[in-house]
Amino acid sequence: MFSRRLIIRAAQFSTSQSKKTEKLWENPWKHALHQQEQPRTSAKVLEVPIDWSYVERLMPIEIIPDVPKHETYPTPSGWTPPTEAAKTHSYYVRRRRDHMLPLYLERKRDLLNEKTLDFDYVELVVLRNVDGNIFDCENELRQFVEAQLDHPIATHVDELKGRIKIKGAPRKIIEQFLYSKGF
Amino acid sequence: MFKIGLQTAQTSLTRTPAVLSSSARGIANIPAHEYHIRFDQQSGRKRPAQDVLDRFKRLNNGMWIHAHAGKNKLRYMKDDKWQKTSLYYETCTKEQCQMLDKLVTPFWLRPKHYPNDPYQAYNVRHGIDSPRVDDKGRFVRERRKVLLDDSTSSRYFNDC
Amino acid sequence: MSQALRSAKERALQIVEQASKIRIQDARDNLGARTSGRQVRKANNQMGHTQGALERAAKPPLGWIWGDFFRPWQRMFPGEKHFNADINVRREYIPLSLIELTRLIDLGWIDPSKPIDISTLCRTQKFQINPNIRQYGFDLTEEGADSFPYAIDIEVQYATQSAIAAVEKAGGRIRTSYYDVNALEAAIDPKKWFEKGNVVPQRKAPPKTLIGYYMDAKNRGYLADESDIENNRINLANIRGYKLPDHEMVTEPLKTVDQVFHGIPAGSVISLADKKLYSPTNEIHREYYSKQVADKQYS
Repeated sequence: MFSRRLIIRAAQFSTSQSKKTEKLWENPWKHALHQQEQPRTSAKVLEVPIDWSYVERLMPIEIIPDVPKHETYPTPSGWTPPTEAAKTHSYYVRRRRDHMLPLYLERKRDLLNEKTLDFDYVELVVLRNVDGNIFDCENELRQFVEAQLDHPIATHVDELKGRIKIKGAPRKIIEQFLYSKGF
Repeated sequence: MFKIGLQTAQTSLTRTPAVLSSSARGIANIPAHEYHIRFDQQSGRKRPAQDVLDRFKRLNNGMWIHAHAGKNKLRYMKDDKWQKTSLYYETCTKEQCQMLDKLVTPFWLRPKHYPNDPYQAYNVRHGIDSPRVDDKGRFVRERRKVLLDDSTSSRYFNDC
Repeated sequence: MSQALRSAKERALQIVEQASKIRIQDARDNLGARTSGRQVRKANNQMGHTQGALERAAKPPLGWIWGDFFRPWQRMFPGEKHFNADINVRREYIPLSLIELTRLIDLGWIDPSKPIDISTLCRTQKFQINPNIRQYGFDLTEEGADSFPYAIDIEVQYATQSAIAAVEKAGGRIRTSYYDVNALEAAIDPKKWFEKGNVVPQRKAPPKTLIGYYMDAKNRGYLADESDIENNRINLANIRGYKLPDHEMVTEPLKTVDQVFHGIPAGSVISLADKKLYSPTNEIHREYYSKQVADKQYS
């Protein structure tokens, strides 16, 4: 009888006894959850097989998709890819990774207007991603734009960065120039 | 002596709870001279001036409009032409627009699009020479166009 | 014990209990902070004497004009309720023009052979919809309607007649449907929704002011009769004078009235890591998610 009681006592002390000597700070979550009664819920689930492609096509697009092949260019929305003619010049303007032209608008502070005592701001168009002979690019660009606008424009060339900043020309005309060259 | 509209934090240790609740500074409870709240007492955020929201409307291109002063006064005495013109809305000058922009929170400076908006036609301005973009490169008066270059967007949109 | 007979110690304890907790950053020294008020003496208020006096004087608050201190410029005009009073009731939509939609299809962001709904448009990450500031979805506008080329199966939240005409002229199918705030949150960012372990919701019915819009076949509402919509489609073609294609583009069957995602039943939980879908086994849950009627009249 005495031994049976000992056996029962031993059974109560299961192998988890070794885990109970684990200190509080070694596993604080376990200690906290052990004291709290787990809430009872009637939410039980069962696996249902579905076509996983329905879920896949809800996931956000992480990588810019490739442009699908069209029969004719420009596409219905007016987009053209770079053409073979682009490779004939002494310079090359690379497209952005989302296949658009690398033209950006910037605002720069100009002189103080003495009448209104407020700063005038001027809009600059920045053409980036220019490789090769950037000065040729700038020359041709200036001739094209000045022919369209009938007034001179200011340009600034940064050869190291491959950037041209243009002042006085709307971005639309510079896009026309780039499309005419095939970029 | 002009009071600057900066609110200092008042801890609840200096007041009893009962007093705190009755003088809670809701929209109607703010004294008229403390309308520009840069830091709210409750959440520490900027508050839009309620006077401005009651009287002015901001269009998407940055222009603020307001009604004529005195348009509800003595209408019976005024002539026909005044009856019509008093109901027009006025635009604000550049300095006034800048000041009103400072008095409200960034939510009110966002361009908002509503279908069947009676002010839709006035949300665009044409023929302005100043830059189309701000310092961050976002359009100031126009709508954001997704993946469109200027040649395409100028054909379909009439924004600038 | 009545309120009045509390001792000073108890009252003090109550104040301390209700005070906000002090955090470590509150106790730290804030170097460079202005700790003393700016000395604004009456003498410095004499405006215009010298530049220094001007700089030291207290400056008037925004809008102050000569006259009454309590009437700044922005209070000198009468109020207009039409301006901003209904800001918490107004529903904002993100404008999506047909030309932008064409460009997205051209560049491969959207596949026209699959149904286009709010989740398809949001997964391009070119649009930001925030349900918290009362944005309810997309409004299809008609820039680019003249030459819309693609036959698409599209579902937006609002559409102008010209946009509907352009889509149907190209041989597409367009429906307007309502997403309540919860369903909208799930639809605009399904990945975040599933990663949180949230249940795929049911779309609730539109509110009273919008039910009329979505039950109208003219707007191709999702609650309208299919036969009415077909009649309207033919009428619109006659009115606008274009030839209607024989059949409209049908990629997949239309979503049911309470469905948020194609092919995923409401009430289920998705595990992206395990690539599994789990359905509830409890009878109450299954009944709740299977009925096609919203349990709340309005959302």
